[in-house]
Amino acid sequence: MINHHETLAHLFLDGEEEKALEYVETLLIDHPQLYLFEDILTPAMYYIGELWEKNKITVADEHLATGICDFIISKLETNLSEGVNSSNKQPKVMLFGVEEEQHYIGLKMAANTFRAEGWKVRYLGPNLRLEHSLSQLHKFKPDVIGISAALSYRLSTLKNIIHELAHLDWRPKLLIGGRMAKSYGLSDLESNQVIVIRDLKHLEEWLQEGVESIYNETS
Amino acid sequence: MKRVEQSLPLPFYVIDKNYNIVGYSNEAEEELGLANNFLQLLDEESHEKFQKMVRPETIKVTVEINFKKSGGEFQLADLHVLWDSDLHAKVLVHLKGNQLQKVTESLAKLRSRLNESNLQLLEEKEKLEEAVKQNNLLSAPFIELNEETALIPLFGNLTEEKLFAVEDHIVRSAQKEGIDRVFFDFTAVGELKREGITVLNNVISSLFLMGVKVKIIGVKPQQARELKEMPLPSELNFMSTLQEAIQKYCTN
Repeated sequence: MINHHETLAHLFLDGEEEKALEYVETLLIDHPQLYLFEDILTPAMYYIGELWEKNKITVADEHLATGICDFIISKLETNLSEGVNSSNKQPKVMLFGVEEEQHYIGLKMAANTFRAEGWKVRYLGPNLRLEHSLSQLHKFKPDVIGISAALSYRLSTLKNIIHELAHLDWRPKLLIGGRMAKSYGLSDLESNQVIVIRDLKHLEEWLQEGVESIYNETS
Repeated sequence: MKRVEQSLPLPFYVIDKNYNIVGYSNEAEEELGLANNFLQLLDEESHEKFQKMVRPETIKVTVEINFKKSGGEFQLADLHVLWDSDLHAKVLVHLKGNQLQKVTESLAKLRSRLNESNLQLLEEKEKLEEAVKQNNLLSAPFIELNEETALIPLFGNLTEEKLFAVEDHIVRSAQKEGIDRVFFDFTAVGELKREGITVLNNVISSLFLMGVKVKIIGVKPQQARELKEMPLPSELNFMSTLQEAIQKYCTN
């Protein structure tokens, strides 16, 4: 069996963005986007992390690979927005990474997952100061706010942010994702309003089931 | 632990096989600090890698590793390790944080600027879509000519999008008591799209069901040829000009 994620990881590391794109587009002929994100791109990035652990590549190589992966996801995003028609009742989501959070590939994949489901998406990127996101939030008034956090020493930052956002007057739902959600569970943060999302599959499930509650509350 | 005699212009440590620091250079103390065990100087996420790569069996190795820095940050370095024996290794540290960090930071800045422009473009696109929607809504005004008759002049290309936008408004307006005849004026219509005509067909069917008669006015020859190929109710009436229609239905 061909290890798609390893093949792709090496294209990333070699800086072969065109070949990587071709490879991904071929995969997308037979597979849904979620499969690409969850079963190929995510494992490819983990595999790249392992190569660093094994002393096979440097951090600079990792940065290049991340850049190419970013390019691929952005490219898919433009393909996507052309196909989706904008009806009146599009739910809205805003996504960002907490301050000092530099990991953004997962967040970007989450943004595309929302887009594929027909949501109106504002992706603000990683490492965002709360004041900045707040001003954007007030302007856009999303039904859902997606926050990504990866490193454990930002747990306190995350708690503060959740506290602050939970009190916004239109009561948006808060989705917490990122590696922190995966490895620490964070279940004590959960409530009616706050949902911890383990991975993209979980997000997709939530998008299929949880959206009704948003329509019911906002309509 | 002793300060090594010959001072090197780089951070330099001597460690034992349990990674305890047994010697260090001035630069090591100044730039990276001291601890009993070398692992204490490293970022936690680098511990496993260090332990795997740095062992007496591998006599000489270069490893990229993150050192802890105050405030939760870390700095990247190449470690050049040479084991003298099974017991002791020399570790030369080459910090490369500055160069890479600068590039990384500029890239992150560029990325966030691109993202901002992306957001602005998205906002403009949404404004534009809103304008098109407004434009669509205005493309089929419902004009009451008298108590029984209304005129709907259609404007521009008849797309599915446009007819979806006006569908509701037309049917609602026709619900008004007394309206029993509607003229669709095609004089200002450009292209006909099959999907658009399908929606128009639905609108006309709804009007029929409400007991409203429908007349299509001002169809151009080219459009007439096209309309023949498209799904329209057979009981639909056509008239050539608005003037004719008004004369017939609106003058007592």
